Amino acid sequence: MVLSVSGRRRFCRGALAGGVLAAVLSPWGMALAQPAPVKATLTLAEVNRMDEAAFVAAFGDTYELSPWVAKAAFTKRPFLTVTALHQALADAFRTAPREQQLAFFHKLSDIGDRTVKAENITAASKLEQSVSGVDSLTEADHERLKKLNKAYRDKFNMSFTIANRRNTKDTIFTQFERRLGNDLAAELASAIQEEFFVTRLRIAEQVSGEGVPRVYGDLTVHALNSVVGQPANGMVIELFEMSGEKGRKVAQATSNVDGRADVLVGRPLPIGRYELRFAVADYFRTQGSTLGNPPFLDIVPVRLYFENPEGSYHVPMVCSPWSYAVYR
Amino acid sequence: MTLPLADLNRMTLPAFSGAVGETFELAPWVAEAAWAKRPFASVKALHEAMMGAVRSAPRERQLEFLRGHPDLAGKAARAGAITDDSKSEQSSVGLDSLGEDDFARFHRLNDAYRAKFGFPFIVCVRRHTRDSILTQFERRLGHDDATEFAAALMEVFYITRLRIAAKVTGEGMPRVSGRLSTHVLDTHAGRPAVGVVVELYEFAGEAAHRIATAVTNADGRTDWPLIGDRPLPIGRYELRFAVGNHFRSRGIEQGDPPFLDIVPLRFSIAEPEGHYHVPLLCTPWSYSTYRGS
Repeated sequence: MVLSVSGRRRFCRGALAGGVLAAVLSPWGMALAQPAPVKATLTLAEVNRMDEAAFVAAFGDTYELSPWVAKAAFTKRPFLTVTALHQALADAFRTAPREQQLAFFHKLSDIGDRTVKAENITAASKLEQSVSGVDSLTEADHERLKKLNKAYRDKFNMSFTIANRRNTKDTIFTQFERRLGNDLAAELASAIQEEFFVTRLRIAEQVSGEGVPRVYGDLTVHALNSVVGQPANGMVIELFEMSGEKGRKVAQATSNVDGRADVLVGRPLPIGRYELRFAVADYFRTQGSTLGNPPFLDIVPVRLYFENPEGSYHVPMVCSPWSYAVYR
Repeated sequence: MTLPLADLNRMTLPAFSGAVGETFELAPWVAEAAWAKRPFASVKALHEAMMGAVRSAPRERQLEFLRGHPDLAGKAARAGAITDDSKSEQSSVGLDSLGEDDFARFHRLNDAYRAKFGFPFIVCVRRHTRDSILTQFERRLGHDDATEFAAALMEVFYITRLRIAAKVTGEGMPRVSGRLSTHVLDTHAGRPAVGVVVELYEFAGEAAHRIATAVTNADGRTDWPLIGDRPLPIGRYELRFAVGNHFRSRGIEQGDPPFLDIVPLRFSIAEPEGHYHVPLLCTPWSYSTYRGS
């Protein structure tokens, strides 16, 4: 699914503080187009001119249901950059008493919880969970998630927090299981770090101005035809998110006259395993090349791992009907 | 048990028929006609003589011969009423153990084919994967009579060439085997990649089945070809190389988890008697491949 949301990553009360929702959904919840860019609703200059009431109204929900964070950050004005604004909020949370931090994580509802009432979920939160697919789990996975939620609450008396938009379903499960082994101090630090990522995305999409933090990554490809030494124009490239041997298509692009294509841009690249599929035979058919029957190379899959959601992954594909090279 | 060509050349007609008479499915007349052409200078010439007998036979006799072939994955095969060669050929691609859905699909195709051409669909199954048999089946159903008659005889040629090559040894063996090999080069170190686990998968639809596993030796090659000493079945394949483990064992920085872990090379084989050399040149961040020989 492709979408741009104002960074909610879980169920919460309260109205959406800012940001414009733009989702492009197919009936299968599959990516069919690039997201419309999120339009920030505030400029940094406007934020710096706000009185406390306006500031808390704008950012009281950045840290969910916790206007005290915004109140504390308000005293740090003016903010020279959008990053500084986010940092002020994050510092306010980090320096708060531990009891207040624990209470914050305690009152969040559980990830993937289907029993949460509609009025308790924002539209943004729903979309957020659908990005990683935790809202559309198989029964077995849903049961697994329920068990993990219970074990986590039993151990830490908190709700598990993770930046959904920076993860795939597989890495959410992996992280969940790994973090269950933490002690409370280490786990609180992990939760605060995830909350940092969640709120950074939110602020970056809500406020425009100087020094917006980098919250998006990009996956771009460059297709080159080594038979003629030219860019390969019109090659179809698909991106699948892999879970075991199963793939879920998350993006599709076609190379332009320069052989280039933006496969996934304007959002974090969720951590996980992927397969890029280059339709090499279809491309060479359009060039009138002689191919085997069946062609030696048809769909060329490239399996790779994104470990940095804000990273730039550029994957050139240099190919002929009988060979190819690929590199980062 | 194989038979030297020299021995065959000295045989009486009954002995010759007994030795190679079953090569052409239920048609001892083929061997009889070929016997008159002795001696054979090569195994290839023996096979050509037998094929020549089929090609120069009257049309009615050819048809009768084609009709003597079993349905692919048919009831005859299940009931065991075919030659031993046919049986083992069909089992080599799993046609003797189809699921009910695939069995029904083959059955429908067989019926449609027989109704159109008046003889059963003949294909040299050892030169195909199950997927390409189905592709061929559907394509050939669209042929006109003359084209399909020629296509069926061509398949008889492939089938019997394999049978003769398995039965008779001597000068001028026909080429019936292909070879699929690989070579893994670590271009980060500038050396062959040693100890890399390589798996070969064959596709049936979207499902991949592992058919071979090997580990690269000191030369970066596998000790034996991934497929050798038999035809390379036409179809789709994937070689998977455990590149992440290789660089991990060398202690090379490659991201955690590695950017590249299992590297898949997906390709098709179109020439069963061809040499397919599919090497992998890799670093932790890049790789390339090509079809060599």
